[in-house]
Amino acid sequence: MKGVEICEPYDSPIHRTMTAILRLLTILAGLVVLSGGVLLLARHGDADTSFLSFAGEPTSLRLVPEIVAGAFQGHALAVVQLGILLLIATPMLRVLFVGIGYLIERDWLYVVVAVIVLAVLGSSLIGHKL
Amino acid sequence: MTQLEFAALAGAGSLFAGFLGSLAGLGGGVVIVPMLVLGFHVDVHYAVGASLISVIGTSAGAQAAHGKEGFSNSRIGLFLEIATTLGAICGAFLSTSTPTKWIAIIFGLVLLYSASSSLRKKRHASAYQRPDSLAAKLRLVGTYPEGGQLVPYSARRVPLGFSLMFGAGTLSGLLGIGSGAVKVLAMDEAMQIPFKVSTATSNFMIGVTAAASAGVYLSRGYINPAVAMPVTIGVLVGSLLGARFLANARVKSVRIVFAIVIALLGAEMIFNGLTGKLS
Repeated sequence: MKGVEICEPYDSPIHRTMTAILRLLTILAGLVVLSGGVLLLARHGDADTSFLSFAGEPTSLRLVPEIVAGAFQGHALAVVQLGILLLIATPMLRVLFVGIGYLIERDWLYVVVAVIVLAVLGSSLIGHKL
Repeated sequence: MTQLEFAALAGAGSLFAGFLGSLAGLGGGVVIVPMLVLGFHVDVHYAVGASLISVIGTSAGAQAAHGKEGFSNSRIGLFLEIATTLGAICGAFLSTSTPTKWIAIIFGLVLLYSASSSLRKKRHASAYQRPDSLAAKLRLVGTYPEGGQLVPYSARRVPLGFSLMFGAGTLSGLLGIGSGAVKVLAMDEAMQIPFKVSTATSNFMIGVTAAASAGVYLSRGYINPAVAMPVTIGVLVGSLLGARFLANARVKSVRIVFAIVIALLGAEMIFNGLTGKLS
């Protein structure tokens, strides 16, 4: 039948490499969250805590550059946020890879679609004023 | 409660939620928010933020465990992600101005819907129909193997499916869930995509949708690392264990138990919302 796609090449070498990268990033994100958690509990494990009222996190735990800077200074909460940021980056990278796949196929319509999705995803991370 | 006690209890609960959710095929997200809000008295915004992160974790973890997307159609997925990510951002912004009471009630209704849809019989794919003009222009077509041969399919009613997907994204951003049930509804019922393809494509889309809302939550300070940390690790480990277990589990009975659990949680969320216990 004309115009019907065949199954996509899930086992091509490029696809396997991309899957491996995404898997590594997921594991890395999990480990960073875990190590931040260990730091947090080792330092403040016995502190009383309540999340009943919503205060909003400070900018140091909201914006990408400040989270990265804080994490490298060893702030436990910033390390957790960095892991979370890596986790958020995983699906973004997936979209990027799918887009690159269409670029290789010269499927311009879907390259544009991927760029739109990436732009929406990217815009979400820019600090929004309340 | 000390930080350590919260982390241990919330982590254990999330592990259990991720395990059951992955066995039932619904993801752990739907039970995380009720668990945190009703069980640990966490503010609903923090609970939704933590749940979103766990949804991304489950989706990424499942893809890392299986390594392939099955019969997912990446054109359909990518195209509809425009709708879900825009909807997700919209939902994330709405969550500030929506009173907690209403978030609880909407959440309860979505839980009741997910419970009933997870028990519903899967509709068999309808006979192949020619793609309508928009689906043909966007090449939202494909084939999937069944009974040893490739069966062609094509998407239909694209604008309706696209709008429903925007709604699924909004719910995801407002409630911190993957809204897999609404995504499958949009693709199955509205766009008439075969069930095998719609389920796999929805899994592929869930992480991307949640990432869009999580980005907004993070940059607006709604993601509390102390809350998100045990939830993320718990759900991630739980869903990986669940995926391992899936091969030799009696999925049918797990599905029924999970459906009953989320229906009860849904009723309790609605009750708490209506009586003003959450505000």
